[in-house]
Amino acid sequence: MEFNSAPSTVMHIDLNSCFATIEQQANPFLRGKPIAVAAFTTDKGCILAASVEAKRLGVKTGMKVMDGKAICPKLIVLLPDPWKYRNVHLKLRNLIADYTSDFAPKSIDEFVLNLKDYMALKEPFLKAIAQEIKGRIKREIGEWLTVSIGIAPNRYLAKVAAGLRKPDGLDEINQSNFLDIYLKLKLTDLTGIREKNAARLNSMGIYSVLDFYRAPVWRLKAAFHSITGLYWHTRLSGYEVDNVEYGRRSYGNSVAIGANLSKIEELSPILARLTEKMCSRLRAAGFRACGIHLTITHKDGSWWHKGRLMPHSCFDSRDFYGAAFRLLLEALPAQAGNPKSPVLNLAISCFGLEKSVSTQLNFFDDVPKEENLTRAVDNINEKWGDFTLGSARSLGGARVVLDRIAFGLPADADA
Amino acid sequence: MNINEKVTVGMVNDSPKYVLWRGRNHTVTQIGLHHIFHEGKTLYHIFSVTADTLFMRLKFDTDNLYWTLEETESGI
Repeated sequence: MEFNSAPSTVMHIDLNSCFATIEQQANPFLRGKPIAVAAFTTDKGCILAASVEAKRLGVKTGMKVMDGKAICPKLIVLLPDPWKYRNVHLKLRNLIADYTSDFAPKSIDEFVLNLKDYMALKEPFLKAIAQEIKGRIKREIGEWLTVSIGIAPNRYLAKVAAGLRKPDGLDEINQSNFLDIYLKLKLTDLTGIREKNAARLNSMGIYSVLDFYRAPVWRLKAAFHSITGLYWHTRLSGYEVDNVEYGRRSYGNSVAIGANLSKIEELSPILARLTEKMCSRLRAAGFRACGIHLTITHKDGSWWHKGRLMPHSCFDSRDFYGAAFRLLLEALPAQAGNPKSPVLNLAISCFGLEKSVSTQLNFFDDVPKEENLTRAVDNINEKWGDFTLGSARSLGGARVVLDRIAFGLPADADA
Repeated sequence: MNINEKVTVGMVNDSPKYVLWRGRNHTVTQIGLHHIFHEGKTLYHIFSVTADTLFMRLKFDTDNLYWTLEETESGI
């Protein structure tokens, strides 16, 4: 397949070192210093974002705080402040909406703009728009904020282009320069290609991005054992395959637990809190769900997970908690032989979503009464704040389940 | 450092200009970020500002119109 000769119309905007840069924007005394935003400021806390200065010294996202401090003893570690980041995201979203209605936030710090219908579209013009956006972000949102912008004929290559130079980059991948850019990239520089996928490609004699682009579709299909091979070929040739919006199929909440907890009585309040948080989001979106899934990751790296269908679709946190608690009981005896393995991460999700349009009555429960009760609780919490009213069993989970920004689409950033 | 004390804040054109805290007047020299959030129905405005070598996080409660100095940081 020849590389797409159409002009570049997709722009990918990536806010550099998002959380850390926003903290530096808020507190000017932090600017120019190595800082990191971490889930916890204790030694084993996970670094969620490092500032540009910290990254230059080798501090990376995903490192433990103690490892970051070993590399950079002067590293300033801060706790996340989710509302700060959501506000900047919303300001960015409003700014971008001035240019096109056809844009999508891909995460708290990434936006994709389709400027196909932008009038008088020409290549230098698109770069001028990108420069204008960069300038407006500095003037209207914060002078310390920088974005890397990538321009390409499709979403994937626009993202790759945005990653070529950080911070404050502006690059385009098009028919005239794609070979030069592919030549400079390693396979693992491509989003979606990590060690395992690289190994799959290596097994088919593909060792570079240029090999990847030039490989016939049959070889890529053989490498990935699926149609994915064709998608990769299309992506790297500059044609669009990622312009797909997937509907929501589940709601979930998870928490990383700092303390060493492994007993049911220690974990059940956290599970109750997570379940109530998940259910209030589920109901606020107008859904019910008929399945529940629990995942437990241990500090020794092992993990356990199980999903279960419930007899009917539910909306009440108590129904979900009952099912989740039974799953927790199943999980913990399985660990009885390994008591030295506290829980690192507890994640609950519900699936099998259906819109709450009508209520199915049953003989044994007063469903309308349950509906009224949950609606009253939701109304109180909406007026006075989350968890103003909740179950007693979830009280102990309040210290552990904090407000955090999830990876992926910032669904709750529209408050 | 967490403070959580009521303060008086002078505003000009939607921006804090001075903070009266513990009998001392601090002139705001830079506004780093202004952001908002809701707790229930109550809207809060947060101003992250500096006054010379002092960083201040100011919270404005739109229900009772009180200003709170939430935290300060002195020349990190």
